[in-house]
Amino acid sequence: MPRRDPAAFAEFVAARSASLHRTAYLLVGDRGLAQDLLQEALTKTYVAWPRLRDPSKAEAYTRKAITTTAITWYRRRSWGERPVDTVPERVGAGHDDDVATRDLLWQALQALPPRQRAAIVLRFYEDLTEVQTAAVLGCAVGTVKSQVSTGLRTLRTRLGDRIADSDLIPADPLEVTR
Amino acid sequence: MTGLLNDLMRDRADHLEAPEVDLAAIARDGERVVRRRRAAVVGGVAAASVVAVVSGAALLGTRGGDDGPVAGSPPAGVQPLTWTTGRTLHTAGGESVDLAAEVRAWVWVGDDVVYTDPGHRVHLWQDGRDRVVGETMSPDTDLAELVSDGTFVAWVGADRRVERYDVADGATVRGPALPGERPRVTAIDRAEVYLADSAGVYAWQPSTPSSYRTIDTDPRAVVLDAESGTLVRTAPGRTALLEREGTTLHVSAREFADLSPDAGLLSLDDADVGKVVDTTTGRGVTLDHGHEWAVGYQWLDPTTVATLAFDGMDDEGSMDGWLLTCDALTGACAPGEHLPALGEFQLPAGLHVAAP
Repeated sequence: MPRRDPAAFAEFVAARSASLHRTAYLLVGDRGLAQDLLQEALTKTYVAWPRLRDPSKAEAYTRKAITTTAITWYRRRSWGERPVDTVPERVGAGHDDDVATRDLLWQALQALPPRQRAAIVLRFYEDLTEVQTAAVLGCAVGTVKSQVSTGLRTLRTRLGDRIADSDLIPADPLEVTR
Repeated sequence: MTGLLNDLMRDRADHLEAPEVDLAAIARDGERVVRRRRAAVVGGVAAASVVAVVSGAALLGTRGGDDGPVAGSPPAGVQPLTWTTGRTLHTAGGESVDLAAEVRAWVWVGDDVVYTDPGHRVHLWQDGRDRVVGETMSPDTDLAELVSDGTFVAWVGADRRVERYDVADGATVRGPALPGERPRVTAIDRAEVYLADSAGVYAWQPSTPSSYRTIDTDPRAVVLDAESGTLVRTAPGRTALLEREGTTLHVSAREFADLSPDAGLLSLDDADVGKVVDTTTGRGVTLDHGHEWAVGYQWLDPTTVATLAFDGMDDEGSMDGWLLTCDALTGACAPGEHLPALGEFQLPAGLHVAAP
């Protein structure tokens, strides 16, 4: 196994931290928290570095650390209200209506239970398969299916009749369930 | 078609500014975690550097009745792996024997077992009988409580004075109290006991029991192990894995190093990699153990090292431990015993492996 090489680790951080930060942000909905989450996950990666033989493994490891750490944070802190960066003021017409709908969806996404939110981010932002998502979350594939299904149902309920179901997620079932 | 949800997540994430990552803090915090984990599982195990002379067969033979020979024995000449859970001592063949009290820390002393119980009493299990032969001061977890070599075993007593007990004749010799805080035994070579506290590193020869020799005033330069006159010491500030100066081996490892009985091989942890190094040539062999992390902690014969391995080290609560036997010349390891959770087993290493 390689030694804990600070230069190689710094190179990995420089190359991948922006992408990892985006995932962290989607999981916690707050820039400051996302930065803290990334820092904590990268510390775990640093500890595991000697056995993460290549950058792709290190990135997958960090992504998993971000996800599980975010879930743990919310479990420990029992946060009821979720921090969000923007709050919709009101629903208007036309473009304003679209903006308000997206804001409402963002709020609804951030209000989901952490495991449901993580499952949706991993499936529809990270584009992971259900098997890969299950591996990151440390659960069964069936659990991923139910977490995603429940999460999407909640989002649809929160949005009401503002959008059609087919506008929320990809319509192609193969794309969704692969 | 990407859908509103997908578009929304990409839109929000893509507008983020680059994160500010504090690499120095990551390295500092990460190294602290690494040190804590290493200490939790290997700190002080150099105390177990002696070959376990019998390691189970004679001990289990004392049970009497129809127990017969130990099953599942390793190759001839190689002692079996042993560990305890609660008050029960197990061998890799599936045999077990109940000792008189719950085991906190333990060592083999020849054919006998010396162990501490949760009340810090020192027990000798010999010929199927249990005797309390001393008491240790309340030790810090992760530090050696007992060290043994030949028929000798040593510990720091409740009065903070070092004691050496001879299981052959039951004789106890007491040394002076050490000047600093956290006094502890770190190694023993035949009769000579090596100690450390917050003020320095010392050697104590019981033939002149009232005084000790100060080896170093830097408490970090601890004697990790000693065999046949060869000392292994931590070398603060040095980065070389191993440097020899006369009969002293200076190693960069801070927590652990374990000399083979003839001092020809040294098992150590090199930046999370379990290795065995030839003390003459400096050449090393990496243990091919198949787990996330492993280190050889006890010599079972001159070239076979009992190895503690772990998977799942990212979560101390679910670390998965294994005992293996590894060939120190080739690095090849044989599958071994799956251990209970951390805190539920103790190795013949003289320290208490605590729960996370």
